Amino acid sequence: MIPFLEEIARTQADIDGDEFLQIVGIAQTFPGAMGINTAVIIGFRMGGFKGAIASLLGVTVPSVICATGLFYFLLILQGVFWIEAAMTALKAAIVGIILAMAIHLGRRSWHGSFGWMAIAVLAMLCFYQFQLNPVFILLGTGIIGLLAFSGGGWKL
Amino acid sequence: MSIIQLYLTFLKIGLLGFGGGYMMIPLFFIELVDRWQCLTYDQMFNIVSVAQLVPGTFATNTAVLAGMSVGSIWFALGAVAGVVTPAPFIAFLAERYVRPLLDNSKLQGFLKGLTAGVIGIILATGFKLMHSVVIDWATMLTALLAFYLLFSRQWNVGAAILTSALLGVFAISFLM
Repeated sequence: MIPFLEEIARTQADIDGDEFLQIVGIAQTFPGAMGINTAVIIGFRMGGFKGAIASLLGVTVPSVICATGLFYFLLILQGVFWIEAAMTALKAAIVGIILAMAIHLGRRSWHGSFGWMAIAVLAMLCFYQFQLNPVFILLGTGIIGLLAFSGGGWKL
Repeated sequence: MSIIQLYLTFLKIGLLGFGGGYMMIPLFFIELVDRWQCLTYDQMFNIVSVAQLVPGTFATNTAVLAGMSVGSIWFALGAVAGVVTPAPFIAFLAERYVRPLLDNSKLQGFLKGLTAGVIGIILATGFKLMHSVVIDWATMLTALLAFYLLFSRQWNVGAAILTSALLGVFAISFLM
């Protein structure tokens, strides 16, 4: 999705490479889907709230149509003998995808800091072992990061 | 569960989903399966899996599929509306207030810690889901293949899912 957004930003809004990366960076600091956040920021820059809502509709409507179509398609397939095996295989594949994605993203942002890694492992244990609410865990890791990484605090 | 309640639930998930779509997976389970009990664990797992097959944003795809499963197309639209309601305001806050702050070292430190937390929680989510679906050599093989294709071969997500799931169907049918 990001490459498409980059092309639109360049051709429609005159936003070039570095500025686009900055927008993606800002989009990531907010909750919600990164693709949607990136799109609405580009839209807002072009036309204020109207622009943001226009780009939001543009990025959401195809997803709604496709997902609705898929839902009815799966409804028709329900009861077909191989669909159960297909769902099991799909779920197994998703587990692999989620783990790969986490390690891929983690490798990109840890920058050789063992303190960073310790925070990630701590968050993992808090959620996996102690079932803490993920939102509280994130608040905690954010505060640890603020104290540890922002200079002046304890360096990790 | 009424449409309004579903809308508010997805609004909450949209507001709390720091770290993007994958970070929302545990929130979907906590809100829809544990709190409201309007979907079973298995249904929710099916929904987040199928949502990856559709082009578009994972969060909105999941909202549509969850809404359709809970009720009707109106529930689906309510759920999507909920999860995207914060977006225009996020754009406003981003342009007005966050862009000038981006070089602030405190914000950078906070975000660095937040990213570490996001990665940890996504990993834990993967391990949790693994328990319920990776139960024999066929499913194990499928998960490993998907991991390998995405991580080591750098395939795109859709191609990696379809290839490994296709091979997985054969392996699982062979077992049954």
